[in-house]
Amino acid sequence: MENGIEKGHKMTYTTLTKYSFINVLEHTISYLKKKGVAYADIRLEESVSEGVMVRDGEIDRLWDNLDTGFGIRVLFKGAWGFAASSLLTETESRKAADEALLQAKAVGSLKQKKVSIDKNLPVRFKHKSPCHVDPFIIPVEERLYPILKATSLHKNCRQYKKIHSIEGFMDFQKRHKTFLNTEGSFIEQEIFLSGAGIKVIAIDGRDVQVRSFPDSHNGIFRQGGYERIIEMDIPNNAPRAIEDALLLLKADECPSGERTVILGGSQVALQIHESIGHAVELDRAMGMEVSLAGGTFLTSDSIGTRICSDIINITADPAIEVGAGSYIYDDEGMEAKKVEIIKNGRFKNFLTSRETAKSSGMKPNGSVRASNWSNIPLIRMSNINLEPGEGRLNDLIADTRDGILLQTNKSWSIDTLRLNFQFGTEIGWEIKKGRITRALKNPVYFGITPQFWKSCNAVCDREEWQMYGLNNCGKGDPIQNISVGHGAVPARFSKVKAGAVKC
Amino acid sequence: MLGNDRLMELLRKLVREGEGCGAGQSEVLYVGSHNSTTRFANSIVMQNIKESNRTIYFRVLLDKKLGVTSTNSLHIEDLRKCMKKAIEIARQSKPLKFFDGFPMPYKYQEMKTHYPETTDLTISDKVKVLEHIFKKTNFAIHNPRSAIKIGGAFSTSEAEIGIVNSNSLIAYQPFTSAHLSLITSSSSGSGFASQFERNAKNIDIDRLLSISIKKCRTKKKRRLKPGRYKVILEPIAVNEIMEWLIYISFGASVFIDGTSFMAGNIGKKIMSKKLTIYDDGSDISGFPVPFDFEGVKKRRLDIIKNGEATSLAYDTILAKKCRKKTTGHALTPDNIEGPFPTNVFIKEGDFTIDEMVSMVDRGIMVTRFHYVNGLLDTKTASMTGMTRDGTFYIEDGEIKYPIEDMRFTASILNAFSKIEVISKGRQTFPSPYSIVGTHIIPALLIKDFNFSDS
Repeated sequence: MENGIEKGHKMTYTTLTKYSFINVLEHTISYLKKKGVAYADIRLEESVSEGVMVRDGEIDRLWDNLDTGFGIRVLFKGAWGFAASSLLTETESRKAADEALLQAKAVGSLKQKKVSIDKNLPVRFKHKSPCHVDPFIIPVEERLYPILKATSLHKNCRQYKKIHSIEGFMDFQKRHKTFLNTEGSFIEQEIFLSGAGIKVIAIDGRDVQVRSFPDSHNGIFRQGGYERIIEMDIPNNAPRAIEDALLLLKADECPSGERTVILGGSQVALQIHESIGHAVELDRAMGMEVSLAGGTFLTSDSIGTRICSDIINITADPAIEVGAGSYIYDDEGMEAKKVEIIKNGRFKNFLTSRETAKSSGMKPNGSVRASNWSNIPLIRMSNINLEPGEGRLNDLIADTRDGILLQTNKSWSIDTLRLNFQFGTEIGWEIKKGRITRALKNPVYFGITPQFWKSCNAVCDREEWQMYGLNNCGKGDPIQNISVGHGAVPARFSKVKAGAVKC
Repeated sequence: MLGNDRLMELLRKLVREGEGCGAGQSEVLYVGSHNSTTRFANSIVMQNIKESNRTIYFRVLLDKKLGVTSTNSLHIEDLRKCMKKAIEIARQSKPLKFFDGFPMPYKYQEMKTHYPETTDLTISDKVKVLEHIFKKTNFAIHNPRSAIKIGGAFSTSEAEIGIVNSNSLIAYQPFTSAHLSLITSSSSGSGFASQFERNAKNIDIDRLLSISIKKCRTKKKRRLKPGRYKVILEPIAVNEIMEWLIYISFGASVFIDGTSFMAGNIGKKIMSKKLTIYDDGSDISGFPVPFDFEGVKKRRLDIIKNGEATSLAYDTILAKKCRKKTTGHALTPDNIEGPFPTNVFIKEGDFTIDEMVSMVDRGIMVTRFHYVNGLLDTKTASMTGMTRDGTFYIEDGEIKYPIEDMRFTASILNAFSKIEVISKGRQTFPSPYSIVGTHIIPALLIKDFNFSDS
């Protein structure tokens, strides 16, 4: 076997290391400038990741992955082209540049509105997200200890005989991204992402109940190293999840009706994600994602209008250190900025790209990312956060005469305009006269986005504020899954339709 | 594309190197793909994406201890590093007491899965197709105030899969696919149509456009009260439900963890006698695939036979764990949720969709759903989702008018027990769990289906 494995007619293929390939990409940028492009950028990405699933104290799946490649985006005579390859060769780089140009020329031949973007100043920047304990150098058994321990707690315990299984998940990723463009920018960013969680499955006949810790859908993801896993303290929190799952088997169904609902922090994070975060993406508002992800109920005329109660303040903040969606520069070379999304209940800003901002008379706010080298950058949420209010969760419960506390997302569904939603949670807690009286199973709640957020009458304080994160937010075609963060606190809503699943 | 000879030479060499480095058994899987997608919206081409990727997965088995790694770097040092990492992971892992080795060799069925007509399609060809679509959409406007905007995606891809293991298993197959989806929107509504083919030449652009325009150019939408209605789910809508059924119940993993509605029900009637759901990669009348991602030969697997829960999809590891035989449904080793069926069929019925409409006194026809979620209660397959891109009220056997989108919340076990008619025609969709898998799905007429309060 030779150094590179693909050989072609009149072409020399030599696979290069990431470092030597950067010189090739600089030449490619010069080449594209000579070809007269209005703009071009290149992202070279290398991602090392490890994923693990354990079940009942034993490893079920474990894999380690190295993923490398580059993508070239070209704007030529008002049309975009994008080509990407995993082969780091000089020939492949030229081929991708030519392919992206060819695409732009082909589309440019159509009689359609031409794309333009404003110029940006060149940026030279290097960033490495904090990683205090490198997960990749910890031996497998030691690294997996928290989830191996937590998922074996039920074994050989008579009182846990209805715990059918406990699954555990752990994921680590180190992504190094080099960005260069025809404006002279050269930006290097290295980001560590770590996440873990457990899922307890209790079964009694046909009743299946699930409790997760620290969150559902494989846990919480945050930037940082193994210290993020240690912070979760999964083994010591697992018994509570087991007890809750068993409690749910005996619990009553959540009664139906219109009532006061307190959402736990992680469910508020999901509510923000689905009904606010996606709704404020400008490409959706412009109809650009209509075929798959859909549109949004917001238009440019919505700016300044009230869509939440006046105690709601929501920001997009890509610069938070632990956020799963944090970065310093986005994938168009724009500096990440904290952006006000909702201010005192009123809609303030969309998340924008250079293209959508220019065509809408707005400003780009550094909200564009691609899930990896092979994908075109799109408008994506970074960390969309609910700013804290006043009081602790216990105060909120004590202040609630008749309501339910809903915790940990189980199911999620929302329409194409991000209006009509139905979300389910793993557990509900009945609140009577300021006290939790019993657990409730299979709760769902539903509503229409602005009415729901306008009914919010309490938001907990900074002591309750936590950064949640998921690694599978999907958008685009081909679908791009990306990590997104949400800072959230428990919040209370009035006159919410809730109940158990009724089919 | 590397091609059979070059790829097999590489994979054999890597297997030998793995054995030389101390792996008891090794398996090398190659998945190469070249995808090209053109996206359009508001009757404008807005994105072009062309990407080439090649991933090599290593699985090594050392004293029953398994190590799995992958890389898309074809640099020899990265490949060797990756292989050694797999051996290192295996050494550090606990033994899988039940697992004794990778699959033995098979003789695979010959099948045509690669069409040059698809790979030859250039960006200029695609732009011409879209120009034609945009022009035809403009001509379709009779009233300037009811302008139609068109969006969607036109993608073509080429893939090759190669597998070699220490048991002398050798497998190779190239594939192509083409997929066109169209969404039309006007002031009165929206419509959708799509077609998936191995040969791009088979895509009937004008037919898709006609279906999609017809759905969006209708009368003003009315609001219908939530409740239980007789419903016709078109194949796209059924496929969205099928994707969730596969995820929550048809794979061995969810059967083992007890959340599948198949658990405790094998051999029992759980759906309508009219319904047969099976998986068959070997069916050359469909979109065949000769082997799974560990080289096990594809054959028919009945999942639901005449309404009875029959079997599940297994890969080699979970089959051994459950003392079963693999059914040939291994996914790529980085998938933690599978195995899943990836060549799924619902057995066809006898009627056209028009005939099905004529059988409905009062009901709803659903083109497509949005954001279906099947995790409400997996034991009853309770799901929720919104209708989109063409929901219609049917009365006295005729489509009367379009209706506002509605939310359904339904137990699919219950709904699929009340299937009255299955369409003869079926549509093909790409599988979300395998780059070469497909679902071949008919329309269903269901006696009652719950549209819930929003």
